[in-house]
Amino acid sequence: MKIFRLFIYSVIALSITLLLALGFIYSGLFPVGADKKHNDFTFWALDTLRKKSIARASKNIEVPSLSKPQLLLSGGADYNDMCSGCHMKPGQKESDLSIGLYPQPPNLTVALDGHAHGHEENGDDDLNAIPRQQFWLIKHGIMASGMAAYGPTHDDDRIWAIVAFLQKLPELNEMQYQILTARQ
Amino acid sequence: MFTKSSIVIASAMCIFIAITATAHSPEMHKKKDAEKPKCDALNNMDHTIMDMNDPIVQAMMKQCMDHKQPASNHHSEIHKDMEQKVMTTGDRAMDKLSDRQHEDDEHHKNMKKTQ
Repeated sequence: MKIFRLFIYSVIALSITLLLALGFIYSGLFPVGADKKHNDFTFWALDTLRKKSIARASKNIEVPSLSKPQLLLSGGADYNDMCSGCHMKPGQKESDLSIGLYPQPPNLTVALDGHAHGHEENGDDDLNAIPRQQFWLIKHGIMASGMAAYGPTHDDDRIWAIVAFLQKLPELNEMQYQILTARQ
Repeated sequence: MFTKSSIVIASAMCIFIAITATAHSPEMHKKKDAEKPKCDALNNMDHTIMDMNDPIVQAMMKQCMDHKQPASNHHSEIHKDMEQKVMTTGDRAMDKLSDRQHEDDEHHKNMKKTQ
């Protein structure tokens, strides 16, 4: 009898919680503007969710050789057209998009230690973790973040070329960037 | 009635998207007024301090060779170095370009001898 009463109370409590959650969703009270920041807990939850999800989803991707110079040329041109508006060029600190997007897109002209990627937090600390995760990110994007999925419109070879370019981007000065990213 | 028309509209939109969704070729990114690589800056650099093993340098040289930079003896020396690096990277396109450059140089030398 006691267990049955406990069960009933639990069902009632769960129902009330669900109704409150639904009520909150339908109330329109949640601020969705990109100029509002998440509270610390929500930011941590979403950030951790993103890092763990990308690490898990990308763990079986095999990284090809990224050292061929031709990759820098094809990847550089695509980066300049598709990515630099948010992720910057050498010598650039910010753009309308990098300021306006939330969460703020990482500045990829800065060496990886300079911005959080979280691969080390996932225990995925091998040398290929970063290119593997970058490939997955470019191919699949991140929902509700402003990061588009380029997989539907770009084949894997082109995405790997962008990844190859990203490995060298922090080393480039403005002159090198201009030469490498001019489309052939 | 409303449901039927909704399904028809949704189906038409799906078909339209499926037909128009094509792979994004590099040609689609090409612009008529696209900025060309500023290879003068590279040509003015001291090539003796450039690391020819560096893929960035190799890629820049290839980019500028592809844009038909004028050849010089100084560049021929660089291309010789590049040829060795290219063999290790396996980039056949660069290999061919270097070969062509050497052939031109040889041709110029022979011309000078005959004169």
